[in-house]
Amino acid sequence: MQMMEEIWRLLPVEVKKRLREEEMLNNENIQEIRLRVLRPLFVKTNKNKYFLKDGDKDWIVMNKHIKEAVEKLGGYSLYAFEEELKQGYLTVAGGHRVGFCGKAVLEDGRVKTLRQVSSLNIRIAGEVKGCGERWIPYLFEDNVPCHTLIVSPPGCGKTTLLRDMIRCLSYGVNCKESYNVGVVDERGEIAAMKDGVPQMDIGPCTDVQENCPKADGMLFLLRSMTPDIIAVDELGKEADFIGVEELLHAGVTLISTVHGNDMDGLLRNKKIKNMLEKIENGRVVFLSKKCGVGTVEEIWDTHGKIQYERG
Amino acid sequence: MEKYNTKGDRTMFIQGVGALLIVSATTFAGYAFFAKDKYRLKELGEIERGILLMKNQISYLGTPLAQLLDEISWKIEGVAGLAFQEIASRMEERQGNSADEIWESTWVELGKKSYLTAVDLNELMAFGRTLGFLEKEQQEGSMDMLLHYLREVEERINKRLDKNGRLYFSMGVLGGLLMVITLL
Repeated sequence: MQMMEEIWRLLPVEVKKRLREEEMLNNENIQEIRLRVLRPLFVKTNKNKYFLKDGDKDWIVMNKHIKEAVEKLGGYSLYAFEEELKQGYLTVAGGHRVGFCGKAVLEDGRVKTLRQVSSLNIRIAGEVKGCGERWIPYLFEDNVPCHTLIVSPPGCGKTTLLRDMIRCLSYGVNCKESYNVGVVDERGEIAAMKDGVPQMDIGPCTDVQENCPKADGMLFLLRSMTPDIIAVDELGKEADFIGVEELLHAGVTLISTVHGNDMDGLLRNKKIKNMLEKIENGRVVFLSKKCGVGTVEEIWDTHGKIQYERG
Repeated sequence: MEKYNTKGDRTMFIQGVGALLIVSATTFAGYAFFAKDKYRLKELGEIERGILLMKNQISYLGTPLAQLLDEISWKIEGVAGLAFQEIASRMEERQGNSADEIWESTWVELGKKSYLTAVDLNELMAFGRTLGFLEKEQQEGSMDMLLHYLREVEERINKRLDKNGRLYFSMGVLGGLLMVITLL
C-alpha cells in the first residue's frame, strides 16, 4: 500500500477519486492503469481487467486528464526527463513505470522527444517478498553462484523475481553465506531509490548505482564496491553486452533479465548467444504467466541441461 | 505676567513640535518614494539571481523543478526566497494541476506582501505559464526572456535612483519647510 501511495499522488485528481472508489468497492490490488484520450479508463487488477464505469456508461479519459497526469508524473519538469521520454517511458518514485505514446518529434532522423501524449500506461511496481527463495539453490553449483539470466515476455515478473533474488543473496537466504550485491538500477525499478534509500527490500549487503547506463554502472561497481554479484535489469543494447563481457572476465557473478520466450528464441539473438557461449557455469530461468505472474517454467544450465521443469 | 509668558512658551512649543512633525512626515514621504524603488530593486535582483541559478541547474544538471527551487530558495532572500520555497513544497506534494497553476497562485499570494509592481507580477506570471512542459532549450529561452525584462527594469530603476534619489529627500525636506512657513 505504501508503494501505491506514491502513485495516488501522481494521478489526476478525478482519476484518483474514481480509482480509489473502485479499489475500495472491489477490494482489489491495481496492477496497471491505462489512460487513452477520449477512451475509457482501463484498469488491470490482481483479479480482473476492465473499463471503469460511471453509472451505466464508461468513464472517459479527457485530454485534460492526460495533460495533468503528464505534468504530475514528470514532476512538472519534462525537460528533466527528456532522455526517458525519448525511450517512451519514465520510472517514477516507488519504481512504477509509466509508458507514453504520442507524436514523436524527430531530429536528424532520431526521436528527440514526444509531444501530444495520447496514451499512458502506468504499471504499478510489485514487491513479492519470498518469490525467489525457492529458486536460489538452483543458481548455485558447488556452492558457487552461477551467472543467471531471467527470461520472459514483458509483464511476467522478471524484475520482481530479480529483486527478490537480490534480497535473498544479500541476506543469505537459502545459501551458505550472504553476498555483496551491486545493483545497476538504470531505470530505478529494482530498488526504487528515494533520497539514497531503497524503497524496496533489497537486503543489507546491496549497493545501488542508480540512473546510470548499465555498461558504465557495472564497471563502476566493479571498480568501486568489489561486489560478489552484480545485478542488472533488461539487457538489450550493444553496450550492455560489452559491459557484461568485461564483467565475465573479472570473475564477478552476473544476474540479469532479458526479454524472450524460450531457449530457441533466445539463441536466435546473436548477442545473447555469444554471451551464453562465454559463460562456463550459468543458469537461464524462463518465466511465464501460465499459473499467474512469475511462474517459473524451466531452469536451464549453459550446457543445455534442464535443471528444473514445471510439471 | 508670569502666567501669560508660560502660555506663550507653550504655544511656541506646540508650533515647534507641529513644524517638526510636518517636516518629518514630508521627509519620510520623500524617503518612502526612494525606498519603494530601492526595495523593489532588491527584490527584482533576488528574483534575477534565483532565475539565473535555475537556468544553470536546468541547463547543466537537468534537476527537476521542485528540487531545484527548494535548493535555490535557501540561497536567495526576501519574497523570492519565500516564493521559491512555497512553490517547491507545493510541487513536491503535487498540489496543483500544473506548474503554471502553482507558480501563479503562490506569486499572487506573496506578491501582495512585496514591493513588486503589477507589471513585474505579470511578467512573472507569463514566465510561469511556460514552466514544466517545455524541453530544455525552450525552457532556457523563456528564462532568458524573464532575465532580459528583470535586467532592463533594474537598469531603469538604478538610473532613476541615481538621478532622483537625493531629489526625493530634498523635496521631502523642502516641501515640509514650505508647508511650515505657509502655516506660520
